[in-house]
Amino acid sequence: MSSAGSEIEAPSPDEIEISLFGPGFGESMAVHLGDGRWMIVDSCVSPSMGRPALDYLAEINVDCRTAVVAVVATHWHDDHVRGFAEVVSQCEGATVFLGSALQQHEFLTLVASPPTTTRIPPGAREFAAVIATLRERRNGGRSADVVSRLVTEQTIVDESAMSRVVALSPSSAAVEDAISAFADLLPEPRRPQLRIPAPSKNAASVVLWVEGAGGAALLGADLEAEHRNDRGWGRVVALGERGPAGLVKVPHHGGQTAHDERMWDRLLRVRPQALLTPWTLGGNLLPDEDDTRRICELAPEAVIVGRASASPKRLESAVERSLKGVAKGRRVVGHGAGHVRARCGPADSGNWRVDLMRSAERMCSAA
Amino acid sequence: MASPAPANDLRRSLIDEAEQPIRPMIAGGRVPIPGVRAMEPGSAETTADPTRPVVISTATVFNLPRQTERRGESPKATLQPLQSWEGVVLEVRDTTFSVRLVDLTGDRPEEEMELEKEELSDFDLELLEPGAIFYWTVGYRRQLPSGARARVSLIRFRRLPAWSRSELASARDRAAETAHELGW
Repeated sequence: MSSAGSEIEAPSPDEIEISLFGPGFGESMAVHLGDGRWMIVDSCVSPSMGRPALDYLAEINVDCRTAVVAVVATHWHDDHVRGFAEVVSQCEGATVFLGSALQQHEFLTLVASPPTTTRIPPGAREFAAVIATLRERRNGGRSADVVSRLVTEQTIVDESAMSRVVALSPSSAAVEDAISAFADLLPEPRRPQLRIPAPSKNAASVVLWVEGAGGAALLGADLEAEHRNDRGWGRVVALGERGPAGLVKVPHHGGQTAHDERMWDRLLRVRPQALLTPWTLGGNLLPDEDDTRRICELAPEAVIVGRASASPKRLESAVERSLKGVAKGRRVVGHGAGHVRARCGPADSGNWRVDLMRSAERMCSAA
Repeated sequence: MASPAPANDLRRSLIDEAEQPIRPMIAGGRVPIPGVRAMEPGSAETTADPTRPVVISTATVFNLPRQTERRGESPKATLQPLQSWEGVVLEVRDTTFSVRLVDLTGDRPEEEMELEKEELSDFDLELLEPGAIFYWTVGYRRQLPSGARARVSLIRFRRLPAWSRSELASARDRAAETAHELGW
């Protein structure tokens, strides 16, 4: 592993690259699929890094208008989609892949509902802009399956001589759950307006399996562990053994609710290269100390893109006095972003080479 | 002192984001808070930054109780806001709730934090749920005519108009149209 602050060069044509960005408003990945073809997963906007995935591609002289062939939204979790509309708009030639729950009537009605005026942009507004772009492309004469595709388990997102990307979720049971959750969020007549919140569960997240000549990677999104085997990681494992992958983007920020031993045992190599993004809300932080300990036992070389714990600058002293004792876990949103770059080529025998940039760091002290 | 034009523009942009029902109350630039007089740009009691006085009065506007001051009644206190935020509730727990805040007095980055439910009035507690929008002002309340000053923290939830049946029916139609057009 190396720290490569200024070492910015495009991957070679036969290398698979997973570049992970965050934690800003959301998180994002740029994935090199070989031969200069790219996929962008989710979106991230950061005060310190701008639009990291798009900016990174520009920096290594990749024209996202033509080189990005797929854009994937793993799930609709409000802030995780900030900037997604711009990614879709900029990547003119890409097919947009959305989890199938996002293409159902319940979600579309949610997106089309009258927006509540607020200065904090809701995810629904972001998706309304995405849909506007997709409709423009359809009206421009492009066929429906080139403009956008529905993702369920086993959907092939991309396939070429160099690589294959297949979705391992969501299962049909998880999609049903998500549709029901969206229905619960639908505005009702005569109820006071709210900024539409995100569903609390992530069972319909899109997990991706990326396989190239050198090795494989499991991109875990926010999929959680479930008791039943028709959804969550139990379902992914039940789809059959594959790989094993040498790299995992640890699901749901390393949180316990997404931990399933079967994922580690059956889909990954022993001591895989683990990549994480942190998450925080109020006083809650992921990964917490127990999560970190557990992940470091399984993946001692684990790395994290940054720490979501930037403290705000001090306000006027009278204001600070008022906040003291009232506000807990204050933190600035969207700061401290970093970039983890992992590459694997045919000669690497499935071992990923990892570079840490900006705020990215190792998670495990003994590594 | 701030020039009137930018102040009016800012006031207009904020008012445009407010719900319709209170617009007539503030259309004339008066802020009818019972017992509280909003300060005019450049008045002696504005904050040290004279370029943002309108934010003070406009932010305060959103916290209005739904009453009007009797014509001719003298205000009994002034409010000197030091910091105002717009917030949205992210999560509600047993005794606390998590919020995201956008700075209305400057351009500080968005913050998240956890607040105690006991900071809310009973009336506002009823409105506390994920997605609810509120305004939070910290400042000095000055009693008139004595000038006695006290630091106050005011959280007020927005009482937005309800969605109408026709708005929601229209949303369903647009959803169907989108699904058809995109082949979903």
